[in-house]
Amino acid sequence: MSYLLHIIILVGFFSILSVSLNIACGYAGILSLAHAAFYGIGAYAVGLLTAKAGVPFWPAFLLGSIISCLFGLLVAIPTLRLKGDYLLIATLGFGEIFRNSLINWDALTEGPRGITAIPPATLFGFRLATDQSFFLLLFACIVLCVGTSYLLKSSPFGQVLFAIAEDEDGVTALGRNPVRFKVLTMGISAFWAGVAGGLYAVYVGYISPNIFSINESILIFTMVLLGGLRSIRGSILGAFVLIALPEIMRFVGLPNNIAAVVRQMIYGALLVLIMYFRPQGFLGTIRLR
Amino acid sequence: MLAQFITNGLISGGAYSLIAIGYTMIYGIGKLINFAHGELYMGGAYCFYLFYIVLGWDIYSSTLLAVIAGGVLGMGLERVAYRPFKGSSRLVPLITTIGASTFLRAAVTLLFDLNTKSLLKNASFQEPFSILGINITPVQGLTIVVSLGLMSLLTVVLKKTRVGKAIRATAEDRASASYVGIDTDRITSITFAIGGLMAAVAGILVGYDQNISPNMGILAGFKGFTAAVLGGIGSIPGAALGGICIGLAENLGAAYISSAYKDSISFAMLVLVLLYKPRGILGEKQ
Repeated sequence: MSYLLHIIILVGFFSILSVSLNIACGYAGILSLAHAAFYGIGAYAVGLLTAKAGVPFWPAFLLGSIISCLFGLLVAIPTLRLKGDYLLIATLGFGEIFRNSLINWDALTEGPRGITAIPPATLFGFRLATDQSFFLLLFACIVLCVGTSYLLKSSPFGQVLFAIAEDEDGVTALGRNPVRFKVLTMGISAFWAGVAGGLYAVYVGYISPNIFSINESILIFTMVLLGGLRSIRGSILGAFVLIALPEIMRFVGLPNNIAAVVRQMIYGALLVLIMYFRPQGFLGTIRLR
Repeated sequence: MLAQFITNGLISGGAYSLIAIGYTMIYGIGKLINFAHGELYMGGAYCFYLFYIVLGWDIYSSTLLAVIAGGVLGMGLERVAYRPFKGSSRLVPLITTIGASTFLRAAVTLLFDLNTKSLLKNASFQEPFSILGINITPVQGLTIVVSLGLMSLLTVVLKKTRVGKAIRATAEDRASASYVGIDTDRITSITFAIGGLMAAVAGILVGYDQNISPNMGILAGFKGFTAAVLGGIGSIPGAALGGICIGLAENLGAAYISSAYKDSISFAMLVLVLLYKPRGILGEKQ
């Protein structure tokens, strides 16, 4: 039972991540491989503030998400003038350099050793130390994230984003500034990645630079593509398929460290196979352009 | 001191140039940023590790076979991740090469584990000697010589030989090239192979100097790409120049600002170049 709940919680983290990446990738066509970096910024902010500075959970959690959002805006302002393939590689560079800074900036981040003993989340004075109670908090955050995503989709703001993904020059011709819209979108997307990061930090109690590597960004990206760009249900489905299904390997008896690598191989092969057989993803309707 | 930093810049710059050449040629031929290019670099280094350290072959045949393996890996990559998607959106091969790079990194990790490995069997290659007050090891000297030599050779091949002319024609105008009887699929495959060869050479040289790990290709690939863009994507002399500029900027930045920011310098350079001079230093006007 507790194992099952642990898997559900992991799917939950990745649902927030994939739904929020879908806001950038699926809505506005901003292909980004920096999502794990924003996830990491949220996690490190909460980890440092609660474990080192003794700040209570909620202020740290909110501040962490806002810091992540600010980083999203900061990265977006120069890079979002780039398009398609150039943008993808620029975000990849940012993600990898972020991880390197975590390792090298020893004085703040404890380097590769990571941050330990992060206290669990609290709610109205109760410690959410058990998986069951933590799951309630996580579930509330998932609902809020998915809600934001649906609201955006039906709002005029979201419609402009769809138009930007279709034809950026057309949007400019109609008198809107696509870069401003995209920068804001990146901020929203990074905010929710920060939320997932903060939750992850207090759930596991330990974070280190390697958790937020480029492989994680590619994994989240694969979830969104597998589910189908722009489809919210698709992103959640993608998170479920890629987190829950590989757990089967545990029952086949593969040791943990090998299973992790085999997983990575599956993600890589899946990216190629999706493009072969169903480039619009499971539940997607739009094609890549 | 300055001379030492410039030499260090030339050493890493030489390796970046070799990686950049692959990016630039593949982009020229296929209008594709090959995301798995860093993995060809890593793959070459690991093949060398397999032949030289694990199997214990001599250094010459190990090097030769590892470089060829890099070329074969490049051709395989083209078959799996590029050719089936020729007619589709430009983003599709981009995503498939991301998939291929993830797969290759994981496969190498599975075969050899994540720990860094040394390629060193003969310590005298790492014994620094000094010329005019500059300390340099034989491997580092070799890196500069080999990268300059290979780039000159490639320039001649592209200018003078039949294959070279076919590659340039395909890069310029794919449709017209196939009208005059050039097998453009084969040329694309050859271009990937050349990219793989060059990347493998860089991987072996850098691996010899700094040890190898399955993730060594990520940042190296990113910097090679930055070098290609800085020099002007599509241009071979540009790739050489771009690589050396990045190597120098990094090493001088590490020396005079802080070594913690070394990797951020290439990122800043990429963003600045793409924003203000997207065609690079030697790129052609359109």
